[in-house]
Amino acid sequence: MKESWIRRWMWFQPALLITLLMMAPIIWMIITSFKQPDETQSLVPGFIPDFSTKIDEWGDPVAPEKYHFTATLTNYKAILGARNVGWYIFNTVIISALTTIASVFLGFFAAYGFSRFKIAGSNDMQFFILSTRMLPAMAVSIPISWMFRRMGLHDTHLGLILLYTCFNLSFSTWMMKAFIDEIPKAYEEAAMLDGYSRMKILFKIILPQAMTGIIATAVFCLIAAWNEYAFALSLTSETAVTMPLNIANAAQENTITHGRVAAGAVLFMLPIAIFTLLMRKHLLRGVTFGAVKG
Amino acid sequence: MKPALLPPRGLSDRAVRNWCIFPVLFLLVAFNIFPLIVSLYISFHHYIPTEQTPLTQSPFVGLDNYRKNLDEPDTKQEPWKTFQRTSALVVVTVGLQTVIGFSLAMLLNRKIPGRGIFVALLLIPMTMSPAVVAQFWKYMFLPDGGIINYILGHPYHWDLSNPLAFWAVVIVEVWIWTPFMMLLSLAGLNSIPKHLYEAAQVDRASAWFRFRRITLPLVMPMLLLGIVFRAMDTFRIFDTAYVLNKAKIGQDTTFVSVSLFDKGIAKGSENLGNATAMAYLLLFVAIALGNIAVHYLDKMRSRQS
Repeated sequence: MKESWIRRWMWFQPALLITLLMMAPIIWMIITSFKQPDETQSLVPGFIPDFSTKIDEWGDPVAPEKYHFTATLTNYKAILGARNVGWYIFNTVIISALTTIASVFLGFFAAYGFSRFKIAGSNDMQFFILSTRMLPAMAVSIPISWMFRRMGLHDTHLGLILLYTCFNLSFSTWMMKAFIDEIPKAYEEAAMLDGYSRMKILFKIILPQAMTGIIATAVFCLIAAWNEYAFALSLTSETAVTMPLNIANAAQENTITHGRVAAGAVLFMLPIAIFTLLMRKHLLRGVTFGAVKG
Repeated sequence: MKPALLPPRGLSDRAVRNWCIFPVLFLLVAFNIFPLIVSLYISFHHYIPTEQTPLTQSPFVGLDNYRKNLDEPDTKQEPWKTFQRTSALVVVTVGLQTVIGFSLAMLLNRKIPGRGIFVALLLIPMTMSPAVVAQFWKYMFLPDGGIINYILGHPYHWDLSNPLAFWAVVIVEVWIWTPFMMLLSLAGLNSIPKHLYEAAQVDRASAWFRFRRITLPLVMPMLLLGIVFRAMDTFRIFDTAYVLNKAKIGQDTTFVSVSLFDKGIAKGSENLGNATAMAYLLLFVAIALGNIAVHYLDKMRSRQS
């Protein structure tokens, strides 16, 4: 069933419209990130950047026209020129990468286990895994910081990785179980007849079939670890500080820092946005089960 | 040549099963049960973290903290109102996220040009740090000079105890998390075997029938999974609500976690025991709601297979 190109372009328009609407705050954020503090406060918003300040005949700068503003890189320089910023970026990258790998790896096995084996109390265990996500961070942050200090995990990369992995496990297990449940058991039974071991089945059959689910889970885990704020705030002080703390700090002073917050948000968003863009094929690829299903 | 019909080689099924699930269970028990025990202990004590009295020496107060949370005459049933308000937020935001996210997924599931780019762009709000995003929305919501009021042409107030404060949180939450529901719906839509639609075509089933009998039931498990996770996360909403509107007790955006923070942590002089008691009450409600949701999820699955 092939749709004509007219039909395809007909549906293109609402998609474009909605995307533009959803993107509007991001576009405004990018514009704001190039503004000087006083321009972020003007009552008539500036949309159009001027790249150089105009000067009148007496050598004074002329105020930009209505809807115009003077573009500047000050905000980006302030964010990137802050003390230790390279180290914080390194921390964020290493912590979120290892967290993603650990939570997808462990979650994949657990999901397979719960999906394929009969386990006594399986439903209760799964509900326990889910319930670990229900407790507000407020309530566990104090006991956890106490525990971390005792175990020497306070302000270490390992501590944050362990904690974020635990936080992500409930989601990654449930999500991947939903995908693995969809894979027909007949594939495995056929492979077993051919003498495949369980592990070989796991890597040769389940892994490729569940790839869409694994990539989607990895994206979510990466996002969660990349942006985590509350625990990082209470569990780090120097060595393991991550970027979200640094950006939020830019906004805490009482000065006008809208431009700087916007610049921080744009910079911080870029790597993940690029990663998602690269992964879009995997996120969209159809999981093509044959007629065996059911 | 391998003879067929040998039992599976390598690790036994039992060993594989154990290696699959025990690492996860062990980690979760270590990092959840222990803090829970400590906070249960705190909830029975009058404990003020900023004072130098260690936890082990703070006075035992029994169920006082729980009683205070449930019926304190001078707060006029505020905890119940906080629960109600949070539940209203969960229903409104998760409902909107689901409807918009699912519709977007239906739209983008068609073969429209550049759909990969659309999906990637639409996912961006979800990839941003909620705390930072909320900070920026607060700037856009400014009564004077905020872009939103400039477009609306009227200086509305989106903060403090104005009725719009609640809707500001709704707008931001829907903006951030609709992509999440969209992505899960897309994954669900992708997993529907095409031959079902071809069969329906042969039977000349109407579009509505195809949607009602094929699309919806097969997407449902994925959609419900998303709803469960969004509902649980929204129930303990903190970052966005707190950044948008540093609410005091009794305002429209004082959701459960915000009031927890206000009671136990923000003003250091107050009693953390009180806040942890509240957290426990919240946990009971969340577990009850979670149980109901999972029950439905299971029922949906078993009906399908």
